[in-house]
Amino acid sequence: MDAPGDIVIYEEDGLTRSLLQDWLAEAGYRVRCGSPHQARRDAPCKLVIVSVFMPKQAGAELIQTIQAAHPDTPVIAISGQFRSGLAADGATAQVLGVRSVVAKPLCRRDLLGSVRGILGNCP
Amino acid sequence: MLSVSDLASPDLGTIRFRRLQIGLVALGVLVILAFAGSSAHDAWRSHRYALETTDRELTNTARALAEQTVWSVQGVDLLLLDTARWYRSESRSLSPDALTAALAARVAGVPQVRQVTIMDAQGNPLYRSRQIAAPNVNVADRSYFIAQRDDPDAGLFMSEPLTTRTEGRGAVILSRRLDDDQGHFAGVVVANVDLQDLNQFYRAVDLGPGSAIQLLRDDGTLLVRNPPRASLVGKEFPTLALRDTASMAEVQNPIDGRRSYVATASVRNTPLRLAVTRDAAVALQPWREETVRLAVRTLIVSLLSALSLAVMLVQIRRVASGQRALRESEQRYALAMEGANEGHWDWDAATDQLFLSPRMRALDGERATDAPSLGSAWRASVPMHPEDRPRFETAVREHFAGVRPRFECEFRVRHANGDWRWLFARGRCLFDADGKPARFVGSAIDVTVQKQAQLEKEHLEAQLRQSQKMEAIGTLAGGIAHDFNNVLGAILGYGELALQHAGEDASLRRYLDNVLHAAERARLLVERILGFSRSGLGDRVPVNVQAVVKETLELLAASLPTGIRVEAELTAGAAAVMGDPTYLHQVSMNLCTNAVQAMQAGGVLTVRLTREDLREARNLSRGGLGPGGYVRLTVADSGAGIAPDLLERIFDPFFTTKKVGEGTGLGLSVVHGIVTDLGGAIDVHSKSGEGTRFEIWLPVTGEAAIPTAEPAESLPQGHGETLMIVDDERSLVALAEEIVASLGYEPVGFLSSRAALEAFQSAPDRFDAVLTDNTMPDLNGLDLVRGLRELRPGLPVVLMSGHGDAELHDRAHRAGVREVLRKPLHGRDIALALGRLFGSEP
Repeated sequence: MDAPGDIVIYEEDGLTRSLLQDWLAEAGYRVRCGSPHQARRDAPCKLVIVSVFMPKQAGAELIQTIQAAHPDTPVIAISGQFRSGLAADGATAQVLGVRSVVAKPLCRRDLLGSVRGILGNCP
Repeated sequence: MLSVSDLASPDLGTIRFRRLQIGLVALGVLVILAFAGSSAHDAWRSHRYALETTDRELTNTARALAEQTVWSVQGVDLLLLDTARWYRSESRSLSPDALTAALAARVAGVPQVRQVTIMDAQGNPLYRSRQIAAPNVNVADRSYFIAQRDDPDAGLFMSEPLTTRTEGRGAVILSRRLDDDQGHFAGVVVANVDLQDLNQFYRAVDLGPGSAIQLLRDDGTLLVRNPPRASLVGKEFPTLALRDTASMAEVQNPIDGRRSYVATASVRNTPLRLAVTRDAAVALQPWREETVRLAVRTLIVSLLSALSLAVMLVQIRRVASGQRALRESEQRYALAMEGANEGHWDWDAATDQLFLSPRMRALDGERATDAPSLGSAWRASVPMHPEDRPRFETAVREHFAGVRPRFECEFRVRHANGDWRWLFARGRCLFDADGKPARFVGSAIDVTVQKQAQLEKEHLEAQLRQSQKMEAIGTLAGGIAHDFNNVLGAILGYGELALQHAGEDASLRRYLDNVLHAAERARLLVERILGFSRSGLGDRVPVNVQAVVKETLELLAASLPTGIRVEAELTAGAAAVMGDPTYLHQVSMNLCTNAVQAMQAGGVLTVRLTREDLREARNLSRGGLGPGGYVRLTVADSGAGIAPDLLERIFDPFFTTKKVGEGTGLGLSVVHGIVTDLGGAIDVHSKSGEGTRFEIWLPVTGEAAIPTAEPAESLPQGHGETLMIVDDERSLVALAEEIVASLGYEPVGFLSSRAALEAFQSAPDRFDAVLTDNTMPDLNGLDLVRGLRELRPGLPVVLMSGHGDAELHDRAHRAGVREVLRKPLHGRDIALALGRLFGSEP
C-alpha cells in the first residue's frame, strides 16, 4: 500500500472509474479506488483524483472532506461541469484548492499530463 | 384649491352669525331698557299727576270751604253787629220780654246760631234769645268776655271750642263788644254757634276716604272735623294750621300719625283756618296702582322680548350650525376629492352642458381656461389615445344602454408635454322617466403610476419566472452534463483504446473513428448546455473586456460577408470583469455572429463598448442592476428586427429562427447564462425594420491591462497560399477560414472529407496545404490525408484534433501529417503552424 506512485480515485461512475484505472495502470501507476464518504486517513497515497459533482456548490465541501482525509496530498479534481479547455492549474484549481483540474469527458492525454506533472514519469 | 389657513380660521359665515347674535341681544336689552325707562317715566308722571291732582283738589276744597265758612261766620258777625247796634239804641225802650223776643226773632234768621246772649259789663247774662232751664252763669272768666272787655278793638272774637254748659253740645262762642254811648265797655253780645251745624255743611262735601276737613283756630285748636272726631275737638294741632300756602304741604298728620298732604286756607276776617288733609297713601293710590300696572306690563313685555330674543337666537344658532355643517360637508368633499386627487364631471343630457372640475380638466390634459363646456365638444377635443377611444365609447354606450350597471373605463390622454397619462374613470348615469340618460356624473383619477407599477410588476414577475425556469433548466442540464460526460468519457476513452488496439483492420478503424466522431459531437453539445445552464465552472480571473471584444472583431472581420460594414467604438479601456475569458469571448462572438446573420441583405454592425456608472438600480429586459460601475457592450444590427412575441423567447434554450441544421438555438441562451453568471444583465431592443440592439451590462471589478498579445505582424503571415480546410462542423470550418484568411491565406472550406478528396482529385495542384479535422464520419482525417498524399506526396498537412495523445501523434506522423493542433483552435497556434509549414519568417 505504501508503494510509491499510489493513486486513490474517488469516482462514483463505474465506467469512468474503470477507464481511469485502465489508463493509469497502463501508464504504470498503482491505483486503488475509494468511496468519498468513507475516505480514511490511514490510507496514505501520493495523489488523489476526485470526481466532483456541482463544483460550484456541494463539490467544494467534498474536496474539503477528501483533503481532510489525505492531508498534504495533491488532488486532481475532475468534473463534467468544468469548462472544456480549462487550464489545469489555473484560477479554477486555485479557487477549489486543488493542484489540478481536468474537465470531463476525460481525455487521456490531459489526464496523464496532469498526473505526470505532479508525480513525474512512472519509473 | 384649499389651504390650511382656510380650514384653521373661523370662516366669515360664523363671524357674521356671531355678530348677528350679539346685535340681537343688544337690541333686545335696549328694547327692554327703553320700555322700562318709559314705564319709569310714566310712573314718575303718574306720581306727579297724583300729587298735582291732590294738591289742586285739596287747595281748592280748602279755599272753597274757607270761603263758605267766611260766609257763615260773617252771617253770625252781622247778626252780632246788628244786634249790638240794635241793643244800644233800643234796649232802654223795650221791656226784657220784648228784648228776648226780638233776639229770638233775629236768631231765627241765622240757622247756625243756636242762641244769642247779651251780657253786661260784669259778665252776667242779661237777655237770651232762647229761654233755658239752666241758671244764669257769670261768664266774666270766659275768654270771649275777657277779650272784648280788655280790648276795645278786639272785633269779632271766637272762643275755643267748648261744650255748651246748657246743652252739652260742641260749640264756639262768637262775641262782639257792647259800648255805651260814651264808648265804655258795656258788655258783650255773644252768639253760640253750634259746631254740629257747621259740620253738617262740611259733611256735604265728599272728599273720599282718607281725607278730612278740619276747621281750626289760628293757634291750631280743632273746632270742627269731618269725618267727625268729637274727642279731638278742642285740641291743638298747630301743624295743620299752616299759614296760607299756594299749594299743599306734606306733613305728619298729628291726628292719626300718617303721612298726609294738607292744604290750608285762612278764613278771612276770622281767626279761623280751614285745613283739608288727605293721607299720602290715599293720594298716591292711583300712582301706586299705575306703577304696579306699569311694572307688570314692563315685566310682561320684557319677558316676551327676552323670550322672542331667545327663540331668535336659537333659530340663528340652528341656521348657523346648519350652514356650518353644510360648509364642513363641502370642505370634506373638496378635501376628499383633493386628497384622492380625483377630478369629477357632471353632464346634463338635455342641454349637453358639461361641468368639469379644475382637477378633471388638468387630468384631461386641457388648459383650464378653454375647457369645453359642451359634452360633444369635449368628446371631440379630448386628446384620448386612439387605441382607447373605442373602448371608452363602448363603455359609455353599454352603460347608457343599461348593460353595465356602472361606467368604468381606463384610458390614456396625452398631456401638453406629450406624455400619455392613464386615467381611471368611474361614473353613473341617471335616467329619466322614459329610461333615457338624463345626467352623467362621475370622477376620474390618474393611475399612470399604478399602471406603470403594474407593468413593472408583471415585468419583474416575468423575469422571476424566467430566472426560475433557467435555474430549473440549469439544474437539469448540470445533472445531464455530469452523467453524459461520464458516458462520453468512457466512449471516447475506450474508443481511443480500441482504436489503439485495432491493428490495421481499416473497416474496424473507420467504425471506431465514427464512434469517436459521434461522441465528440455529443461532447460539444453538452458543453453548450453547460454554457447556458450556468452550471459550468470556468475560471474567475480579471478579464479585460475590451481585449476580448477586439479579438472577436478581428476574427469577425475575416469572414464578414460583403455588404456588411462594422462600426466599432471601444472606450472601456482597462475595465476588467471577473470571469472566464473563454466565456466572455463566447458572449461577444455569439452576439456578433447573430447580428451578422440577421443582416442577410447587408447593413451596419455596430459594436460599442463603454464604461457606465449607475447611480440607482435599473431593470433591464433580462435581469436587474444595482448601482455601481459597469461595462456596457452594445451589439446592434440593422436587420429586419425581431417580432415582439419572439423577443420574449430568444434566450430560451433551443429556440431558433434559423433553418433546421443552421443553428443549435443555444447561442443566445449561452450568452444569457454566461452574463447572468457574471452578475450582469441584458437589454434587448428591437424594432421591426430597424434592427435589433443587444446591450450587455457586466459589473466592473477592477482594472486589467490589455494582454500584450504579439503584434499581428509578428505572426508568420501567408502570401495568398490556398488552403483546403476540412471539418464536418460548419462553425469550425468558418472559424478556421476566418483565422487563415486574416493571416493572408486563401481558405477553401469543405464540410465532408469525401467532398474534399473529390475536389483535390479534380485539381491536385490548386491547394498549397491542407487543414483537416480528424474525427469525421465516412472518411476520417488520417484516411483523407493518406488519400491526398497518394495523389500528391509531400503535400503539407495540419491535423486538428479534439482528442489525441502520443499514439495519435505517432499515427499522424506516419500518415504524413506535419503538424497536429489541439482543439479549440487558436489563431496564434494556426499562424505558427502554417508559418513552420511554409517556412516563412515572422
